[in-house]
Amino acid sequence: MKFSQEKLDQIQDLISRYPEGKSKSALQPVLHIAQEEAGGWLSTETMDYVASIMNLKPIEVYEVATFYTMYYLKPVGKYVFSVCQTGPCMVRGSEEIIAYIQEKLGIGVDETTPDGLFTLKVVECLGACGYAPMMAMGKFYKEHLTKEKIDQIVDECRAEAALKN
Amino acid sequence: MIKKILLDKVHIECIRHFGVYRREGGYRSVEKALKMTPDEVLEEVKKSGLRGRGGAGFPTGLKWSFLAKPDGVPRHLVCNADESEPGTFKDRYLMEFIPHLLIEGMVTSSYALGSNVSYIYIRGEYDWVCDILEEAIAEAKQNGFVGKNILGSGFDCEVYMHRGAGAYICGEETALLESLEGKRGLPRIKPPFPAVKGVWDRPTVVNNVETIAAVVPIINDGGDEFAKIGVGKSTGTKLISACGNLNKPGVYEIDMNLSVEEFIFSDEYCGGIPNGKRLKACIPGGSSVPILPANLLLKTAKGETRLMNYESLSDGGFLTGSMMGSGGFIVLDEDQCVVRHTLSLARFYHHESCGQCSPCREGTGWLHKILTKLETGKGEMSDIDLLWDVQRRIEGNTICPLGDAAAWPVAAAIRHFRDEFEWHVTNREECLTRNFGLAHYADPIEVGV
Amino acid sequence: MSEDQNLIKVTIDGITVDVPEGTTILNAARQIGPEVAPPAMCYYSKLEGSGGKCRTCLVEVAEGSTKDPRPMPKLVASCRTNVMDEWW
Repeated sequence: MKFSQEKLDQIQDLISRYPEGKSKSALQPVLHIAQEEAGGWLSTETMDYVASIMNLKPIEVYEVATFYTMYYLKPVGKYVFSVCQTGPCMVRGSEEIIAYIQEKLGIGVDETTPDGLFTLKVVECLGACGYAPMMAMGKFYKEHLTKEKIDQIVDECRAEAALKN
Repeated sequence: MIKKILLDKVHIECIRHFGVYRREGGYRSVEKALKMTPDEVLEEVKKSGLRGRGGAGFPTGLKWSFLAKPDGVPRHLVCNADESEPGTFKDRYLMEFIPHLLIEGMVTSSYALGSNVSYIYIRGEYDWVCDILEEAIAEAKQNGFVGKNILGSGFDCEVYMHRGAGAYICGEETALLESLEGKRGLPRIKPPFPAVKGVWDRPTVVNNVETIAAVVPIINDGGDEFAKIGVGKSTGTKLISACGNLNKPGVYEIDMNLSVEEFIFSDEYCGGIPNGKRLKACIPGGSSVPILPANLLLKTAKGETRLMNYESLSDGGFLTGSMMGSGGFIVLDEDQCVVRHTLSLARFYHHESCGQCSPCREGTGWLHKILTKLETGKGEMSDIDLLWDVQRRIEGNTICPLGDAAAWPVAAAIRHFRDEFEWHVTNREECLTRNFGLAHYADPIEVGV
Repeated sequence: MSEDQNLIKVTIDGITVDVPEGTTILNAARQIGPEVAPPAMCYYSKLEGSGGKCRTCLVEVAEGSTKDPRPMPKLVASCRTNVMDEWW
């Protein structure tokens, strides 16, 4: 694995935001980039590579990557549905939404569809309690979820994936 | 209609862009502050009586005055935008729709504190909000309000975004600083406090988004004007994010003189509870503050009307009161099961405990397990006392306040809804298919108890 | 001023002892003896930065000092808290 020059420049820019000698601070944003570049998850090789370009020991990268929930340490599908299940979402019916996604996609929690398109994750509060039930997908949030809305999102994702192939 | 000072311009078209924001009077506070000395700016903030909006409600001016100023050591201002308390989404609203207000507040506050490089630590899931803020910073920089020699005053201030990666614990200020240093978000043992040794061992002030945004009207109109809004020691306006069983959930800017009843039921605010259901309980300040049954929520134990401010919400202590917290207002209607809701919160804290110190790491796990047992109809009466015992052993014994935050909701649920817990034990089959209902939780309270 | 002149008087469970500045509450208690010393697990004197995690050694500080203006009484990890704390 190797970053493009453009990404390396972006990483240099990130490092320059922190004081001299404190480049480790850029680890979190760099891991976000690495995850994006490496197909949505962080393998040991990817983390080792990040360690090498940031002059860190591999363990320093592992300990951070395993602590935060947004770094995926196993392969995930192209679209990751992170559905919130905490109190305020639960009150508005998040459990039904989770059950419906499982039924519709034929997968359990933390599983990926055989075509490699969708992964379902159940997560804790995402800070959109007033727009519940909701889930995070890629960069954005999908809010006020209903069964119809899930159907629509799944269709859109499938169409987008078909277009790219 | 109350005077809005934070969200007054939020509905203006394209306010997200520098040009419009500036035309509407934006960045005046920077111009004004740079003509004052940093100490004068601090004095205004002190006069305003502004209290930290992140949850603890500590006076901001006092916090700023604790900042150590050793020679030759840079100081930093860090904005805590790691909003992750269940029920709270006010900061996201502010950052998403009026990002320049936060940037303006950052520059003004940085000037008061002498921070030349300031950071906004935003939670990882707010990816697009991070982009919005990055763009706002770039615009402000182009126009000379961020960067070197701002408005020719000789004051340099860079503002950078730092995106986290999903950890509730990073909302705790020392965990946030650890995370900013590129480590795991484990809270530090205090002292030393961040004001003396913060990020990279430099003196640091960590403030919530809303707190920093509130500095803008304070400087524009003066601390005294700010202090006139609100009531008592709860000065200024407060953003409340209302969610749960409400007709109109969302973010509201309120005057802290508003009654809880009006906030829930008036059409100007939440518009009441959907489908004609009745109010059962409410968590008034984000998931970690004690839950209150309807009767204690609307009136205090003394029979006074409860208002939406720091003092009134905590009236009666934890026995009959709650806390203002972060302003995450979670409303439960008569169909909700308190045991189930408490279980979902216990699961949240179990998941989010950083695992550093024993009472919280082990205790949150046990709370989760025992509550699961009760909720699935397998509980014993003794489990309720066990639950009480476990939460008592967490509270106050941990490195950071997450332990307290995990213990309080469980304690309050048992304190006020013990009947419902007992019903789960005596009706093991029934509790799987039916809820306890409203019961007596909305009955009028006897005044003078 | 040499270091050993900076002795501090602390009272633990009614027994007063003089210890050098910078001594932790745990070590001060250990000087008095096992009958007052709190149990400790994660603190090991030879490991730098150890302690403070297991919370076994929590003690109640009854009265604060002018140098540590936090409200007392308060439970603190005795292995990581210096007597008459000057860190603040």
